[in-house]
Amino acid sequence: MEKTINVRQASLLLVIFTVALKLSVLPAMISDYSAIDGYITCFFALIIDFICTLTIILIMRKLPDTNFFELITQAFGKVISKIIFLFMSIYFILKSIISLLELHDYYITALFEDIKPIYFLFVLSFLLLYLFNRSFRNLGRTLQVFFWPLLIGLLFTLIYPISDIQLTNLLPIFSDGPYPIFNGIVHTAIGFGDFMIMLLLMGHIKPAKNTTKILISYLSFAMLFVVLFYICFQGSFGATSVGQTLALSDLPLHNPYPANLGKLEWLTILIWTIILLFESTILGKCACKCFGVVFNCSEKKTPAMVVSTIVVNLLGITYLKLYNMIAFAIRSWFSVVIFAFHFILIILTIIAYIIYQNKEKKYEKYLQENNAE
Amino acid sequence: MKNIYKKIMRNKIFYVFLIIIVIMFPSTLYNESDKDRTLVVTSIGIDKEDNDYKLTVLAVIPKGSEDISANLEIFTSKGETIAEALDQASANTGKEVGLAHCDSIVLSQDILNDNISIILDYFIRTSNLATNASLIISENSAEELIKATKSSNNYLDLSLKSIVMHDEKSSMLNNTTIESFYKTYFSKSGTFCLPLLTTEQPEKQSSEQSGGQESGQAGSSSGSNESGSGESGGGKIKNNQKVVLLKQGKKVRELNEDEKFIYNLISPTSENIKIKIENINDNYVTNSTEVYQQIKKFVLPIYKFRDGKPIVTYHIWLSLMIDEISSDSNYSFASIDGLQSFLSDIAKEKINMQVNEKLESTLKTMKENNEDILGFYDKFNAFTHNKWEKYLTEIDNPDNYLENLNIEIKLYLNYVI
Repeated sequence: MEKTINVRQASLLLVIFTVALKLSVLPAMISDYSAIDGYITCFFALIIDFICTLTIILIMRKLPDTNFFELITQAFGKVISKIIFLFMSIYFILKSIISLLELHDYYITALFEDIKPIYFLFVLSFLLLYLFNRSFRNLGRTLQVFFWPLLIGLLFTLIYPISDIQLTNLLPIFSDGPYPIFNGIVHTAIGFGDFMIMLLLMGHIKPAKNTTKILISYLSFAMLFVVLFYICFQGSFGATSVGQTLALSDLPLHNPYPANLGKLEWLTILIWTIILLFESTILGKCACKCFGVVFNCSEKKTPAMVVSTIVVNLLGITYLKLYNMIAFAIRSWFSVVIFAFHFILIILTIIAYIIYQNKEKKYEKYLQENNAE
Repeated sequence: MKNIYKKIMRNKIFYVFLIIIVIMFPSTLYNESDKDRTLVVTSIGIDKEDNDYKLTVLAVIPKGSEDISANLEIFTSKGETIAEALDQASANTGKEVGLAHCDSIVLSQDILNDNISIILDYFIRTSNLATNASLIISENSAEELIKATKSSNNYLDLSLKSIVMHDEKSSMLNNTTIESFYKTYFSKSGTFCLPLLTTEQPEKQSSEQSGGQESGQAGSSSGSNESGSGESGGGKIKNNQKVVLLKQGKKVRELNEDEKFIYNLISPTSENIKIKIENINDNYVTNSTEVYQQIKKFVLPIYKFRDGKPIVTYHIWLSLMIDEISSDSNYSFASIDGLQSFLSDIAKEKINMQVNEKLESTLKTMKENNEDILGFYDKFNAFTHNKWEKYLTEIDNPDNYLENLNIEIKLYLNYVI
């Protein structure tokens, strides 16, 4: 198994994956379902993601040379594993579309009055084709270069609103019981499921000292940042949080006092557009990998071309309107399907690992018996 | 250099982007400039006229003049709704109204008879308004206040924003913006306080002069505007530090002096408290009036229940400095001694007495009118949720939760030299 990515690069991919889709429209969506407990919903959803990611990391530690496809194939056979990968490719394509729609929406709201869709799609198609041809290693290395500016930009988003937080917007917790939290977790499932990237990085990470510790610490930092962001968001906006459909942009502009340095939110805009582009690329790359597995394409160009074409066409079908996609994603049946998909995948991974381990034990026992004879 | 050039030329994606730039760049040369398309509005005034909304917008039209107010123009428009009135303003001026730099919205007192959430609905929804605009009430019409803003000598329209920001430091007002209004509108208390500004009309002589100046600029502006009439020699903004109380979006009354004092004292954000005590006879002064100013303040509110009744205790650590001593028979070296702490026990007692009197009056007014100005419902619900829920079930009318509420102020005064 070729080890293509080191631990730090994998950690950075995981951080971007965790943070990117959660700071734009998701806070308002969660507030719609969970009201004052929105940040609690986010917290619990991230806990679930954390447990799932930790499970996969522990499996990776036990099977450092096995990738997800091999694991599933050994346990359930090739047909089932290809079906799973087909669903995964569809999942990643959908999330990539949401990420690109958020990027377009961000441009329209924060930077430009209008962008002609045809120009946007035309340029994007070439960009995606190029990016989807890159490897995870390229993405990881690029992220290493951008790491510090991205980190500073992200931390900056918390500086503005800290003084606006009112505790009355955050308390009391569980005032309406657990139902709003559960409702929020299920209906916004598309915004979570960050452990999925680890399934595709399985078997490709170069082992290092403290691999688990490094991955977990980066993940914990990312999740802590997201929870703090949601606390700032809910604490600042309170009852009006459902109307803040571009949370990252709305938070700095919420400050009623002009800053000494004008337009500091431009830093956030710049950083965020880079993060969303990375996120879309990672998601698209994941879709390409799954596509390659399903249709036995070992080279990168064909899956990249197919996935980028599908993504651009689907973007055109949505008329580049984020809210068309969001309206679809929060439908009850779709939310339940995504939530169940996350749940089923992690269960299948655990079952596959157990079956794989049992087979390994039986094989070792057989070898021992043969040697004894 | 040659190697870098070769490297770039080998990379195929470079050619793709080169083609994109070559195709798309020329089209941008023919695009209209934003400044020719957008009317940059910095303040909006809203009045009611014959069941229609009359909007007065203060816009920046750069003319390269050294006189700042010459770069500002006023445009008025009418419509049944705010959106319609703004569309009319766009039609009158030939430019789209751009609210990205609008940081203040002025409402006339007439508007406050209706629920202002209906009027502000456009502004809370539109993505055109990128900033969190401050809300201001005009004692006269909003149009007059906007005109006074134009004719004032302050830089652009920051005079309105500067006045609001200063007010927020020296009074109980905090964050009087659209979003804050909606946050309290949807809360249980539903009360919101806004600053009330007025305009002082200039004397006739000066208004003729400013009318002449204004009409000289009339030729350079487009659309309907008031500058030709001479009535835009707009007067001066005057801030009597009045505060208007709104409940559920409608005006209820103005706060009285006792209320303003107490709410200012217990506000954690106010910075400029002045305390005046009279008839002071102590070791330092005789029959004097002393004025103290706040240097530092820290407020810690504690929400608890006593005998089943809600009580808020404000622990206030207040550092004071003597501002002024006013007395007929007081001029001694001791009275101007800068190293002397004038905050004697008698002075402290007087201050505490004054605070308690004003607090009693404020509490009485609050209970009589059932106005939860400080949002006690939300605070008790947040910090003592279970006990608060129990309290609401025990009282006859849950809407009358202020009936048994008590406020205590514990002042810890110290003098700063």
